[in-house]
Amino acid sequence: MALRSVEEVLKTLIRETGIILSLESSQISPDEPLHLLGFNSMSLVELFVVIEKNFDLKLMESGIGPKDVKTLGSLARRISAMG
Amino acid sequence: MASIPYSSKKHYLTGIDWAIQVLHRMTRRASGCGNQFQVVFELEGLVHTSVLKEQLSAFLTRCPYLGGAPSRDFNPAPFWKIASSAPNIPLHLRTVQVVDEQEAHRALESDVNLPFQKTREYFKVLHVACAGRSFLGFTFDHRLFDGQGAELFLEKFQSSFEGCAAGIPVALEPAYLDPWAEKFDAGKKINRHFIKLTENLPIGTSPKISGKAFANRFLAFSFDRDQTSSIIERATAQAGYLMFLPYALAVTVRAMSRVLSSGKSGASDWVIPVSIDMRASEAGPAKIFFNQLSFFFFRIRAGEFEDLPKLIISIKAQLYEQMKHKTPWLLQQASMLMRILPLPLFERMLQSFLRKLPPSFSFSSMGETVFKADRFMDKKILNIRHLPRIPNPPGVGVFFTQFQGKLNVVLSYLEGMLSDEEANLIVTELRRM
Repeated sequence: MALRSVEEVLKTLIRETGIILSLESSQISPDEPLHLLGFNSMSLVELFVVIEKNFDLKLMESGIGPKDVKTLGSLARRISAMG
Repeated sequence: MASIPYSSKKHYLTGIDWAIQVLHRMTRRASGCGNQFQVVFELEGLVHTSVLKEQLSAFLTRCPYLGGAPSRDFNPAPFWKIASSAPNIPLHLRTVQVVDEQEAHRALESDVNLPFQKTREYFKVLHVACAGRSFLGFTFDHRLFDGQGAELFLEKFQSSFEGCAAGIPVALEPAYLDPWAEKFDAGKKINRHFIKLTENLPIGTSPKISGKAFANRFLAFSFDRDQTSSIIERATAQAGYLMFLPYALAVTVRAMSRVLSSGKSGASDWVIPVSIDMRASEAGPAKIFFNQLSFFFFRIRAGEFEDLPKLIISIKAQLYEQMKHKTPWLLQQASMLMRILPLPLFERMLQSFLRKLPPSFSFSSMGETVFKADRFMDKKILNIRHLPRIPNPPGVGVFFTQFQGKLNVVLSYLEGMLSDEEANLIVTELRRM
């Protein structure tokens, strides 16, 4: 599996978040908690589905924890570490 | 297929809007009152009714959708026929004086159960003055507004009251007749989803309503900010970060099972429709009019009604599957095909489908209100809650909203479907969430 840099993953996450929440990329901070960005149960699951598709991952079976999904930055670091 | 020419007087309805028209028809025939809901503003201080009436009347004339009506002509898609640019829109506004909050609640409940007086009337107001507070009950016709649309409409009115807005522009929707193949494909996928969802379900029968009352009853309560924070913490601990919807639905299933699965309905799996707002996934300014809704459907196993951890796992897994397969979007696409059907035929089809399902309840969790101002007509807003009438079936529903970090919960049910004792039991369970 190809290695992915944190920056590369983050760029994708910001782009997809913009699509899901109808936000401009400039409005999305990687360090802002997801609930403050406007995520709810439905949009978070939508983001997970997009991540799985984009990065060919099975997030539900990856051992991803609550700390990993606090911000887009933490999520990007975890996804990058998955290889 | 030839494209349908635009007309400045036609706003084409979506499939979901057409389904809402059917529910309106069903509800009106059963109860004499259509598919409507109320948004209640609780305000500190007393509102001047004459100012409210004057300001609202002026605002309504700038909303041509409100003078319109559903219609259909030579093409297969129904539309909303828009009134002239300065329509004469009726405004029914009553004021009542009561002594306590219970009486205020009864007055609001009674008003949302009263039909609109005129054919082209989609909005009315009840002002309840109660011990230095005002409860403004805005009743909306679901054919023209959904819950968030209603709040956005009131926000526009508030802007207009503050002198900041000139009214609501008409944003015409085309017929979206093409591409048909995409809609057929969505229809096939949705059909397969429903077959799987209802596999091996016993044929259901709607619970009989005792007596001849067809009004909706509402039991509403709120949690304060600290209580709401504790609930969110519990939801996070048990269901995961941002997983309030699965947690609230699981808690509601457990509460409803105390009543629906014990005795009158028997214990079989439930299929629960969960309405969701689709505005966030659309680009551009949020739409005010018509229904920007879709649905999830959750099948809950009879043996799991009281097992909260199992319920949460099951609901999360089903939520994930439905998002993965884009079920809410497919449902929107597939329902476009149903617009070909005249309302009576669509009604028969929908009723025949709904009657096969075992008794259940409807659910929604709208999150924080989209009405963001702190004040309404110069009065501080203490709370905003929704009182939706529920079509039968299912005739019972539980609804969560939040206002400034405070969680509101409403149990809505057709009178006679639950006894007072049963309704109180459900509320007691929900209060423990």
